[in-house]
Amino acid sequence: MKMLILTPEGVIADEEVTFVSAVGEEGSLGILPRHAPLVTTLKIDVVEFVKENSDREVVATIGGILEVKDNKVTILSDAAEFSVDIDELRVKEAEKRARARLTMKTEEVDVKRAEAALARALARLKAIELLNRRTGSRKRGV
Amino acid sequence: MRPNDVKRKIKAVQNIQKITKAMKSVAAVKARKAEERVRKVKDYSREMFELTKRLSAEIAGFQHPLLEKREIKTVGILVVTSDRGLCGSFNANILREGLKLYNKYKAEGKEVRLFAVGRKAKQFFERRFPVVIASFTKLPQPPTQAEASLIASEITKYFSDGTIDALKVLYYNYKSMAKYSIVEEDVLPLLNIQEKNEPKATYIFEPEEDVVASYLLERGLMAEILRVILETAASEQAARMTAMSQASENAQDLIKQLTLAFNKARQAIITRELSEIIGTTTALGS
Repeated sequence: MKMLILTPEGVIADEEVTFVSAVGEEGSLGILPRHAPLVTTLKIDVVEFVKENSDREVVATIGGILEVKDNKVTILSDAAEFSVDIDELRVKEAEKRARARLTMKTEEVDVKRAEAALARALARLKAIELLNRRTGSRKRGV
Repeated sequence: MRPNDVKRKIKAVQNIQKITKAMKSVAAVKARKAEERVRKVKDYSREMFELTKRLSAEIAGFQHPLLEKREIKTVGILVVTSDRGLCGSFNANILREGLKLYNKYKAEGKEVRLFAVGRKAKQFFERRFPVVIASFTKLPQPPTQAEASLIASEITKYFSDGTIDALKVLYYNYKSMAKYSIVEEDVLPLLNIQEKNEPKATYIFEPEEDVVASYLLERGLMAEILRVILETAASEQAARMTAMSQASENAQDLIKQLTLAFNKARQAIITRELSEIIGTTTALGS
């Protein structure tokens, strides 16, 4: 089936895939070919997919909406990055900053914004971790 | 004029020309960058729009504040300009259109509220009318999602609480570096997405339909605003490029004229000195 990930920054992925997994507002979902039509909003989390040559890819997605229709998965997200493109150090910095802001109990801290920043950082870290786990297992010859 | 004065003037014009040439190439690069972003956001909004249309057919009696059609007592106008000048008549033209639109609605007996994007619109309208309710300046070049979200949420706030009953957007539609024109568009209420189809209920919705649909509409509005400010930014750079290219040419003409004046002045001095020498020698009598 086809899978398309689009953001206002352009097309992030346009692939033939055999499996897509995503985290919807009401729980995780795995989509195989010929899935019933479905629409769901996505959490700030990761989308994983398996390409036709069985390669797995992980994309950090910042919210969005997912539609399944006619054997095609369309994901419209605010922002999306392949885990290989994510700068781990920068994300860790962002995580630290967000956590620091959340522990400060002053009035100037915009809690919602800090929480959103933290969620984004965590999603990106999860994407990196998932990819490392996969490539790690591949190295061991599995 | 003394030749040295002319020489100084030539130097000055040459320096100006260096600056205008540099500004022209910078504008060309920025225009291309903005153009690229326009293309991408259009892909996104098209998909968003298509999806919204498909789903609106599925949801029976769907309600959302952004879709509410009211009797129009107050019109909101969003005028998009640039923060900086030196781009020819780019800002003057769109501000004139904005003024026309303002007067038109006033003549129809409607209230008008203005949203200004760019320093030029803010200055122009705030000086004239006390009806600017929100202004957004110092946008990065090219503008990003963050600014579009901010503008969209302000507009949503004023539309939902009834401050405005409709929103018109005045911006530059970008076609190419040589082609961009002022366009007036109806943005709110979002009407064009509603199709009068019987609900088919073929989709599984997670969470409820309303949550999904609100997300789509809000993002749809954001994408629309982003497209509008990006297209205007691309047009601004294109206008600046043309203006600066014109300025460089004018400087070249000026340099030509001044060089001519310089040569004439120099020649005049030489001729005078020569005739003085000849005059003296003849007077001394050989």
